[in-house]
Amino acid sequence: MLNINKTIEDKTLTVTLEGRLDTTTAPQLESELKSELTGVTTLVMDFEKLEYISSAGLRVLLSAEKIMNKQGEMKVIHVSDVINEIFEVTGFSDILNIE
Amino acid sequence: MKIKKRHYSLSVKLNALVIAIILALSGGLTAIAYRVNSVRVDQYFKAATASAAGTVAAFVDGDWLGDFLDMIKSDEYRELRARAIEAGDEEMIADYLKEEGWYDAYTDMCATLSLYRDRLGAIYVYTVTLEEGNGFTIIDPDENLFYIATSIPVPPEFANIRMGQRIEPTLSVTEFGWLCSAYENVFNSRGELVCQVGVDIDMNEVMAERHLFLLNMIGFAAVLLLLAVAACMGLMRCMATKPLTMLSDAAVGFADSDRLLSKDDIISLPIRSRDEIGELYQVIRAMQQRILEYLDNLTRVTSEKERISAELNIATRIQADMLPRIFPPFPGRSEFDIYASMTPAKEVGGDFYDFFLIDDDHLGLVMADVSGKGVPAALFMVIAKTLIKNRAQMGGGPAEILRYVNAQLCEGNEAELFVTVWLAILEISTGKGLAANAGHEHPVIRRGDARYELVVYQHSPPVATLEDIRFREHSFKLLPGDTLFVYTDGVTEATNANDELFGTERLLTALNRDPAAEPREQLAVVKREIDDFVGDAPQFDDITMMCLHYTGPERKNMKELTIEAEIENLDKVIGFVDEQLEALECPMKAQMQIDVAVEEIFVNIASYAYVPGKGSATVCMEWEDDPKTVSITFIDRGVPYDPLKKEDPDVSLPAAERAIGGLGIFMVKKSMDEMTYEYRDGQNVLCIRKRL
Repeated sequence: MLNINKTIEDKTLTVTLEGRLDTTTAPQLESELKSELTGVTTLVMDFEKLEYISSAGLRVLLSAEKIMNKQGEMKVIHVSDVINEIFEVTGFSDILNIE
Repeated sequence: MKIKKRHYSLSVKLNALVIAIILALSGGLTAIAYRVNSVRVDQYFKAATASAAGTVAAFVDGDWLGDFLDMIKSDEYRELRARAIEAGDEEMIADYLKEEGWYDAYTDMCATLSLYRDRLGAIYVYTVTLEEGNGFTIIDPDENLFYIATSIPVPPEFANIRMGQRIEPTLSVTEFGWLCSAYENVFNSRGELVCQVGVDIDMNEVMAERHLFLLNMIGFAAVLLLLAVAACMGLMRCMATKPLTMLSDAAVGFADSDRLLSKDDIISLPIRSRDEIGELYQVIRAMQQRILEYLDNLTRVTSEKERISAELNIATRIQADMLPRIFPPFPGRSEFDIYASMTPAKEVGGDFYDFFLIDDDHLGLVMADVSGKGVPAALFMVIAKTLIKNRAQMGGGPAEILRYVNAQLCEGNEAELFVTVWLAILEISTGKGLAANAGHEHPVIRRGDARYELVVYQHSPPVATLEDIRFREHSFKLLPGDTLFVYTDGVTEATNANDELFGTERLLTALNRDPAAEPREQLAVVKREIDDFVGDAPQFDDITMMCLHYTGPERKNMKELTIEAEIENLDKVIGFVDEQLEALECPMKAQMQIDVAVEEIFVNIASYAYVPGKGSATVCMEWEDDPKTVSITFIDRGVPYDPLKKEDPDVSLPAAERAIGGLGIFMVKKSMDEMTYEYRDGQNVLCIRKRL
């Protein structure tokens, strides 16, 4: 179960995720991002309500990060401890701009 | 029996034949006798008549007759005669004859002829001339004077007779009845032919005699016929019909008898003749004697056979009793469910199965097939079965047991029988086992909820083929839920009417029809499939099967899920794991880490294990208290793959250099306390462990 909420303000896209970002739901996020990223300079991923992330989710984040590195920046906000630990284990905390 | 009517037809036929023969014979004889008699009598009368005519011709006065003939041929006389006939006055002719001086001589001649007639026993003696197809009367003493010089018709046979020609006597029917007529020429003193003398002799009496003779003959023949038929019928009845009827009645009595026949039933009849019937009687007696002897023999052989068959039945029962046949065999044991059956082809077979507890935790399983069939195979089977069980109960692995049994069986194995054996010893508590396969069929196994599959590997030679065989042994492991099916070649080599074999493919199809069925039901299904396949063809070999379903020791702290390895099933797997974790009051963080690990591993299996096909995966959760620990085992039968061997990704690289993928297993490794991998029995077994 993953709910994706998107808000665009000026060239900033804020994506709020709610639920689980796993193998089943990751493709959903990936396609949403792909269609929205054009012209976006700042991507904000709000993980406040994200309960769960697996490697499939990390993969989507990584590819979004790679795109945003070219056209602006990407921020991940409101990361819970549990998910932060995963980011740390996988070295994602060094790649991602976590606030 | 419907032969009663027959002999009537036989006597009727014979009688008809006799009648026909006698009729033909007497008819022929009568005809010949009649004919011979007639010809002889006719000749006699003709000769007598001719001789009479000759006598008369020799003594009549030819010269006078010549003159008289000339006179009556004269015109004068003819006119007179015509007038006299016209007037009806005979005296005119008499007067004329007197006047001309012929009368006295005429009456003398008449008297002479009459005299001859009477003396010769003729009825008519007369003189005529026969010329040119016409008769011309001269003197006939029995006629009046008008008759002189009368033209008379000549009988047809005389039509071409010329004057002076010799005339054969003839027989003819005239207005006077049957006559024999002869003519003789009369010559004058100068030797010239003058006229003929005719003599007629009455044949009526002779003819009447002849008819009487004929009638007598016919009557005689008829009497003869009657006598002959009566005699023939009597003889037939006496000599043929009656004895034949007796014979046939006696034979029918023998044939129709519905009680046991004895020597007293041999027919005894008053037939003493030495003809064919007597012979037939003797032959039938001899035949009955032979039949009784044969029956005697048959009775003896049958009772012998019955005795053997009864003994074989006992042997079959002893053999059947030797095989464990009470199910469930170990009512106290819930770790496994076993069922086995044997359907022998002949009275006693060479197949056997066996299962027994070696100790509390070890189950011995045997499936074997002795070469050959019948009593020898059964005897060998008894020895083999006893040896295997006894030796197995002394301990040791299957190879060791078979080596011992092989040595024992090779001793004095003159009949050169051998036995294929599949022997396994299963540790009930763990599901671990050791097996040896001595030339036996490939076992069939079903892992969890998967399909039944043949387990093919190299076998050792059959037991009792050679001394000092070293038997191969291999370990296996049954997981809870696994099912093992072993059988003999009677299953795969069951043959239908078209000489097709049942084969392993059909066996697997039958087993997979309802793979979850219990062992007893599975055996019934396979047997039914074999029966349907074979149809009316006879069963050549024993059909023996054994099925073991392993449930494993009862474990409270365990839950298991077997599911198709599809990404769509991820939520179900996670749901299954979470349910247990929540029950264990697992902390949020640990639950998430476990969820991630389960997802990574299950998605890995679903994505790569069975490509390009499909298969199932089993997720087994176990937990312990103190310290609170959860272990989850993933089992799949896909391509062997050890995720632990995969190199860890470099997590220090910047985003641009990071490869997509490879992170999942790394995350599992990092978040779990323990992760082990094992490939065994064709299965990837991956186990993770986490302290809560």
